[in-house]
Amino acid sequence: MLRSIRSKVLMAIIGVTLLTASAITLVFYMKSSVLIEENYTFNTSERTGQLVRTMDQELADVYFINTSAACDPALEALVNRYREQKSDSVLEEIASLLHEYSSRNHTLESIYLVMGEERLAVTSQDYPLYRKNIPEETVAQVGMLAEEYVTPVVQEDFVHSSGRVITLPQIMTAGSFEDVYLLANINERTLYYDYLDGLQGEKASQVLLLNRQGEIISAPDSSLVGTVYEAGEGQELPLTDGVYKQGRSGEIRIFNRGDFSECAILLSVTRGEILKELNQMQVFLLLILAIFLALSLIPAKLIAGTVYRPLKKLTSAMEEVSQGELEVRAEVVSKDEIGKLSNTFNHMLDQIEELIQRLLEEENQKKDAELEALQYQITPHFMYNTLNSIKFAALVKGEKELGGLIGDFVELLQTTISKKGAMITVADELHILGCYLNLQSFRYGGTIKVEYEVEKEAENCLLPRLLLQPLVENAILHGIDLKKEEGRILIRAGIKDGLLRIDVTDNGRGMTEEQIHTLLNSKVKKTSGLSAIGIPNIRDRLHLYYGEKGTITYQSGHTGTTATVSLPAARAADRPPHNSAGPLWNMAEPLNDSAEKQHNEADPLHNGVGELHNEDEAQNNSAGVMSNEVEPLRNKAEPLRKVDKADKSERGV
Amino acid sequence: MKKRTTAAGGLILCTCIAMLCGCIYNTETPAAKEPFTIGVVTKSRSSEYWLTVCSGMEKAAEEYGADLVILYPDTEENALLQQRMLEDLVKKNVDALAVSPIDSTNNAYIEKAMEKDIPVYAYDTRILDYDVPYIGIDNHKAGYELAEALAEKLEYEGKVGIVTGELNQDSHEQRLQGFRDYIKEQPKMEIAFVESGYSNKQISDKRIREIVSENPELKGIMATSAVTGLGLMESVKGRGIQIASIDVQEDAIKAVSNGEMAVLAAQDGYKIGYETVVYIMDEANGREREHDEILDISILTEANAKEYKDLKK
Repeated sequence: MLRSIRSKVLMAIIGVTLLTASAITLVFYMKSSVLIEENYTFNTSERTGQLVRTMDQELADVYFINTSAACDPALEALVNRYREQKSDSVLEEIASLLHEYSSRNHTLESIYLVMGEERLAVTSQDYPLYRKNIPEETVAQVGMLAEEYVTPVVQEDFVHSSGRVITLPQIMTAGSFEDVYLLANINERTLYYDYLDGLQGEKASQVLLLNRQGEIISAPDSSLVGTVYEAGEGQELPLTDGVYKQGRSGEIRIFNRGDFSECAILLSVTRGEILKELNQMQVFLLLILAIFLALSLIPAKLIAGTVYRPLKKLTSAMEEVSQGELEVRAEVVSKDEIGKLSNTFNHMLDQIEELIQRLLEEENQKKDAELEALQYQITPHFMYNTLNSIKFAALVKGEKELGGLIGDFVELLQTTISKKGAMITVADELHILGCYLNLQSFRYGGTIKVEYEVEKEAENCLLPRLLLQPLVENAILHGIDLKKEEGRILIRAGIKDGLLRIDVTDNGRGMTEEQIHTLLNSKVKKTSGLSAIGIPNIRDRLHLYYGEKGTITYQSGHTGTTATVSLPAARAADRPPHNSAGPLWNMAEPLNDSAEKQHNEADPLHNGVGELHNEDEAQNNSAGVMSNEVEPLRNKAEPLRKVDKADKSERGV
Repeated sequence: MKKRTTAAGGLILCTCIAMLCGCIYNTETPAAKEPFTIGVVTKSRSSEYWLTVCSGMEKAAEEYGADLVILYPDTEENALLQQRMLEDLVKKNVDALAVSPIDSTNNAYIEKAMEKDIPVYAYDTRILDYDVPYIGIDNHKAGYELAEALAEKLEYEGKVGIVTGELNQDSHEQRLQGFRDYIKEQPKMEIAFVESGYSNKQISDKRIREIVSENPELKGIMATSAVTGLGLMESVKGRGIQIASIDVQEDAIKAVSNGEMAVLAAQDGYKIGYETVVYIMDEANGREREHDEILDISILTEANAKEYKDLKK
């Protein structure tokens, strides 16, 4: 779902917007709910407090009226008169005096004057004015209440037998009576409509007016009046005024008790009820949230697009490149990281193109070189063939010696120029050496006597081409004095302990230790042809091909020097017929990296014509270099070479 | 690293939310006990003096977090009603009773209060039949100084009369005594008459006329309450009789400052009410107080009345 950067950026923006908006909405909602709740509780508790104070004053007034009546000497006189006369007319007078008192306050519904001894109650009401024969228990209870309480209590209405009345009891104080009481009765409904009805409202779940004893003296449901308030768990009546909140979702109770009457208003309301209006707000807020979210989509899409556009260009450029369209370049539209990335990518493409260009050029050059090399091959073959023609011309004219020399020269030339780094057998090497010596003898006029002591089994062993020639050359140049005496060179070859050992001994002037050291350690010079192939070259080649096993040593006395070459013996018969140099070549390969390098260096032609050459070599041990292109030449040369071979065998090398 | 950052971020977020919720919903625990309730009975509530007393008490009660139940008889003479009220307050188990007795010598309810360990304090007027702390002015001194100031106004000669409240109220009795004591010291002055029974109550016009005709050389009258004094002032207007009175109330101070009343011993009702509650709360909180708390009075004449009024403001 979130695969593309665009959708990720889009989701991130929407996510952040949603989170912020939700957080703000949540905080706002919570804050307003707290504010609403606080406002409600503050206002309600203020109002309750005010109502309780008013009610308290009202009840204090009722108390004052009742107590004033209790202290009224006029009332005392009337009671005394009734006790003397027992006349109902006195009761009527008492009733009218009580009525006077009771009419001073509208909460005060009636006043009963109870005479204990007579079990008689006189009321301030029009009917009944008085009631006689009140049960003794009732009188006793009235007495008890009056002795105990000052504040409102709930009592049976023994005058009207119509349930209960709320009353403030008082003892008749004026006079020395002990059994006359005044009861100031309050209409419960008056209390309710004066003080509770306004609070009931819509929200409050319960509004009660309780007296000191915890009895309900007023409630919306008047049947509750007189019952004791039953406190649920954690709903005990508080001792002090205040707002009591219960937990997070519980109800809020507002409690206010009057100082004088000790009557309290208890108002319960649930938080949910208070926050009812906020529910509408909830919907409103959610709507706003949704709208803002929808609106935020527009800038989100724009921003995501801005971020995505350069990225998309880069991506599509990369895709095209990956499909081979190397000329394509990413368009740089921004200077940010993506811009940098595009620039780098473009730069990289430039470099790749350059590299490819160079590679192509090199490839072309290589092809040209190969072509050139092939062309070079043509020239030597032309030379060999010409020389061969001259040789045969000489032979035809009877110049046998000259013809032999030219034949030797051709063979030497072929071996030398052909730069293939192949191995040849000891026998072939000695044959080449023979050719060389013939030519040297011809050149210097002196005679060099060469003796060969070659073991039969050593003849077939392989050794690097032209390994011995420098040793002989060295012997001729530095050892034997060709003009003075008869030079003698002994070449010995044998196999011992798996090693091919070849000694080249001369009878010359010999060498000092110092000379030998110089000879062995002088620097390798790049050589061409046959001259000055240094002894170090031999040493290096041996080392390259055979490692520690290929050695060259010199021994010298006053007369004669012996150069000894030692290398692992490998027979030509061991190798596969079509890959003459294979095993040894492979063997030499891991010995030294430079060997391969040398080989490569030496072999641009070899690679091109290798196969042909191998075939040729298998057929003929002379070093023929052919290619398809020179095929006609080769065919031409073929009969000549056969003659040459016959000639060689004739000479018995 | 990234995980840790995320975890830390989450933690901070949770803490913030918790703190927010904590701020929003705090549960209140109900107080362990009911507030201290002082039952107060005044002599009446009909004069400004008593209203200022109640005001001072309410102010102090608010400061100390105490509840006040103030009851008051209709007149300063209804001792029976006052005693009934005091008994009812004892019945209601108030924590302390503050009384300004209408009858300083008849306070049987104190027995009932003592039974219930409810301490009783007298303010404004002493209780004589029980040993009860008193908070108010030195009424004898007030009477004495009032006489002194009046004598000065009359240049220390001539006849003066006294209209006093119920003499079973110690405050009126003491004021009378103080006044008398000073006049006795003055050789050229004498007390022409003493009328009692006027506690915060006006003397009738008829009675004044009788008094004036009986005492044609009357130079000044001392009234032991401002209400009485103000009534007298109206009645004897233009007869050259100087009026001296006690209590602080607006109209009395005004009368002094414009020269209609000669002297006013300023008994500050507000201060008495305030100090009474302070005294009671101090004792309730276990702080020892001297047996009586005697408050200062100021003698106001035309010269310093305005100054006093400004000070009160």
